[in-house]
Amino acid sequence: MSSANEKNGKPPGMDEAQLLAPWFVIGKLDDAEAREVEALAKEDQEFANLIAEALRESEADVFVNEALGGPPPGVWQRIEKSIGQEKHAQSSLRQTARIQSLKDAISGFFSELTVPQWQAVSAAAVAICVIQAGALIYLSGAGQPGPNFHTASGPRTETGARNPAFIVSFSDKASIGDISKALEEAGVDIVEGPNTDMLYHLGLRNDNIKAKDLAYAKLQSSGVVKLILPEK
Amino acid sequence: MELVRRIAGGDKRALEALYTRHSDRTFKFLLRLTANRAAAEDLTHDVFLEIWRGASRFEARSSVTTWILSIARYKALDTRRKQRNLTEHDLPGRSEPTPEMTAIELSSSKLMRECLTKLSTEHQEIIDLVYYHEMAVKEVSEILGIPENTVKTRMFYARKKLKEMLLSAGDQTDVFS
Repeated sequence: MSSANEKNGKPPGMDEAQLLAPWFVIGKLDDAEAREVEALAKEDQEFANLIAEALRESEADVFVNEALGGPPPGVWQRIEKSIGQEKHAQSSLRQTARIQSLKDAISGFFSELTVPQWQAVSAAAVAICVIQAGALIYLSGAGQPGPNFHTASGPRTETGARNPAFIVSFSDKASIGDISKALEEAGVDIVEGPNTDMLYHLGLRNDNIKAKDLAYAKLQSSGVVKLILPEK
Repeated sequence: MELVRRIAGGDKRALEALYTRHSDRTFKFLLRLTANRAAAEDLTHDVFLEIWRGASRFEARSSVTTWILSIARYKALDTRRKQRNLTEHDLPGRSEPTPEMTAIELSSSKLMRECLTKLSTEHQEIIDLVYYHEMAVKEVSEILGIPENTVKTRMFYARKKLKEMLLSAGDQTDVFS
């Protein structure tokens, strides 16, 4: 096989010009090399024959290749289809990667928490619930001595609101301060609640129809209630 | 080069232009390497898809043609490693003869052509790269991944083998007159 020979350098008895004959035929030598080959072909008939032989080989090889024809039109259509499929797949992959990245970030955050950190996070969550509940109980008057809200069977409060006038649900975005202010301006107090549906019963401090209408209007425009219904 | 830059930017029209310009010679090169028309079609598809995916990696150290033929050669060798069940029907030279081909077959070139199709793949490859694709020594060296001196000697031995085949076929008077 030629592989062993071709790595051992120039074949015996061959000079550079002879090796370059095929490239002379296709016009791919630099000027100096081409001049050397031309000069040798003029003075050496055997070398001139070698060039002619390379030219015949070249012509035959071009013929062999040209006879093969080109690729059918379907090949380009397949390429276009493959590109379309790749684009679609990449788009889906990017979306999946974004979701996965978000999942990893969340899962990474929780997985990196130590037991004391978990305890701290849990305690903070419980504390927020307790504070919020406490604040609402305070607003309802539960923190004051003596009964301060009215139930169907219980006595009326002495200083606070009287009969339940409205049922309300506070907006999730409303702060305790906003709620307190709105209740104050409307002249009402929480007399009961929250129940399981987070509904509160509000009682009027000044129990008359005009005050009820005014309180209703003020609560409705306060922005802190998302639902308000008059009590029957 | 401009086409490749545009392809790297996701311009499908640029790929189509490159395909129009280079698919024919790429297909022929692959057909000569694989001797299988269906395989050459598949590989042509794979080569241009690879160009679409990897255009941003083209470093312009070689010509676009050299780059494409390098990809084609790599793909063909990879496929050949995976499947070696080529059929005689697919061998090049068996295509429907045109009137021109018929006329030439009657001439002494017929034997030369037959011998060219019977060379080893390694020898066919280098002869095609030089004579048909008109690649300079340096370009062949880049495509085949061998030193320039090895390109020259491999070409020498490929031609030597071709001459031996012609001599053994008894055509010495016609071919070497």
